[in-house]
Amino acid sequence: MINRGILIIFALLTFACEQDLAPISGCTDENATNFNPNAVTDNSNCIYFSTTPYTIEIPYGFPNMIIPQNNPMTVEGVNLGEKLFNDPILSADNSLACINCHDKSSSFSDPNQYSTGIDNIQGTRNASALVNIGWNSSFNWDGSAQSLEEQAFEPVTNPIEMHDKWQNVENKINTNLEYKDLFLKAFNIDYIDSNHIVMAIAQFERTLISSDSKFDRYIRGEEQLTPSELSGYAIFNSEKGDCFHCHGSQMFMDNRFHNNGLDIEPFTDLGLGYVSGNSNDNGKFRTPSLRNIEYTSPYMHDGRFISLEEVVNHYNSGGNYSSTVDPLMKKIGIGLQLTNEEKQDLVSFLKTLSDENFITK
Amino acid sequence: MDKYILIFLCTSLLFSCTKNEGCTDPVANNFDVNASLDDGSCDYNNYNINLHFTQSIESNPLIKDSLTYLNHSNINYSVQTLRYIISEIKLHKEDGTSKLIDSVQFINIADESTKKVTISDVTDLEYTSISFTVGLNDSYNVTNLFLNESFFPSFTWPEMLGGGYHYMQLEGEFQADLANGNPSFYNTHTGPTSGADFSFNKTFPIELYVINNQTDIYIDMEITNWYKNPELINYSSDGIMGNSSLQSKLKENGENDVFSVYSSE
Ligand code: HEC
Ligand code: HEC
Repeated sequence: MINRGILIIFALLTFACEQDLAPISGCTDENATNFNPNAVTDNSNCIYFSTTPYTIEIPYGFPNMIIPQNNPMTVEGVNLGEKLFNDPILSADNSLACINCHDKSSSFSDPNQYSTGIDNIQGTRNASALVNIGWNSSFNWDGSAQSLEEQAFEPVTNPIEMHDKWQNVENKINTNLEYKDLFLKAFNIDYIDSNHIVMAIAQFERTLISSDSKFDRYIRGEEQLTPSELSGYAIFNSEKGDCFHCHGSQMFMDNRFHNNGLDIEPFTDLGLGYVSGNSNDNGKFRTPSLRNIEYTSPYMHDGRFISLEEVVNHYNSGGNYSSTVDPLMKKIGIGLQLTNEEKQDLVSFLKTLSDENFITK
Repeated sequence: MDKYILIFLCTSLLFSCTKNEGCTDPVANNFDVNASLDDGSCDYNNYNINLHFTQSIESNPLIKDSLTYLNHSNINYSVQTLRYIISEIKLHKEDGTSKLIDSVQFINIADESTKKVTISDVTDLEYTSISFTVGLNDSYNVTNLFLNESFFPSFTWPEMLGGGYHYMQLEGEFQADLANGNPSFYNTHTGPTSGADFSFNKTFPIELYVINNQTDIYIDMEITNWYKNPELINYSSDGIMGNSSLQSKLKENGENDVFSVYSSE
């Protein structure tokens, strides 16, 4: 009996409360960004979150790009990512941006052998070119990152790079009104967290696509190659030079790791072996794409070669034997035995992979 | 009122206590989790065929990276890389009908997941033979046809050498005298040299043994036999992708006795 009495009182109370309030007018659509759960009448002022999809055009001979489902490409996201990529705000002393080590005119690589971080410390690896990296299945020379999102977390805090703390970066970006607005438009978020910062950067990086080199125009039948370039093309794509087994297809890379005979044991940089912990992987590195190779000197994971001629001399020598050298380096101890002219032809061909629009547009 | 509820509860309790009849075999189509007594209604019209791709040397399972094997001329050799394509895998019945069970299978000995494939939409097992193509025949072996497969781009066969894809990449070290110097490397790469079709078909009789609706078929590659019977082929550090005469010798050896098929038992 007492219970029933309490119930009735409650019901009356709530009824009374509702009666007291004047009906609130606002946006009553749950899908809108300014949905007001207290609104009773709709004021037809709903604002909806919408982004413009960014379509990646897959170049001829490339597979589909695998884009994480939780980070779809949008024009807003890509533009925001580009701004972040160019902004030193991501570094502890606001002095160093991604673009400073990944220089656009060098196809987003560092023309210095080793990059210098904000504390004037240098690493032991050459900053990779960022070209067609949306097709990479892993990142860094040793494959230590599995996605562009994951990779972008690292330079911000790396002591030899931007040496900042993510909490500090979040604080800086959240007090910046322009970023507040851009993140709201790209991701519909009020508080900007590190996840969304790397998502925007990754979106931008996926747009760094090069497929308009002289070689592409040749494949499309729009331009002729010189006899020297054609001879280099034949050396590259036959077992004479045998470059295609690792740098094959229109991507000029194979998404695999190899030891291409640079060093003898013991290796100073274990490469993939450092990441996998498997000694069979020691001295193996990710095959880089050769697109824009003319612009990305110096070469190899440690930037040991300044010129393409030096690179070709390395391969022409056959390379060094070690327990993990790739069996595809089948001319070890023999050498490719290219003539000087053939070596020059190979270099000429490599230069047909230069895409001027990519570094200037 | 209360009395009726009580009666209802009691009867439903009673009902749930009696043994549920149904199919109690977890591998059957109509397996009933609630059934505790089998009523003979199990429906088995789906079988799983497990295709296994195995590799051996002198009838023993291949051990990768071990420079302890001897070839027909007493040269030491190892196998470091072995990747190949088996395509158009079909099962055939006595009455001449056949079923395509796998159109392109890429096998990489470094990746266990590529060595077994399960085909689950098989409704009867009256098959008496199996056939497959080693490599890709002309109609499949087209540049850029398999851009989104795992064997792209490493299996790409350059346009100027014929275009399309490798059939096989078999690579390793070889050395005549292990005490003397470093080993050399061989690359036995087969494929459509100069655009010619060096793929070949094999057919084997099979008898399928069914255990719990599973049946296993093993397709074995005897690696040594690529290099002998009938043609003797020596290891060399020269590439063979432009060498039509070696490609046809490898095809001849391959057709002869490189592959065998057996089912479990
Ligand atoms: C101090 C110089 C420096 C800065 C600043 C820097 N990077 Fe790098 N970056 C490198 C170096 C060096 C490597 C190669 C690292 C390795 O492989 O160990 C690299 C590698 C990469 C890669 C891998 C590319 C590939 O092909 O695997 C990506 C992607 C990348 N950086 C993106 C960024 C982004 C995004 C930023 C800014 C948030 C950034 N980097 C800031 C030096 C830098
Ligand atoms: C066995 C696989 C393999 C073969 C064959 C091969 N490469 Fe490479 N290449 C690699 C790998 C792996 C790297 C990176 C190595 C490192 O930095 O340690 C590389 C690096 C390079 C680089 C430097 C790229 C950069 O961004 O620094 C060039 C240029 C190059 N290769 C050209 C060639 C040419 C030309 C040929 C044929 C004569 C060839 N490669 C054959 C695997 C190979």
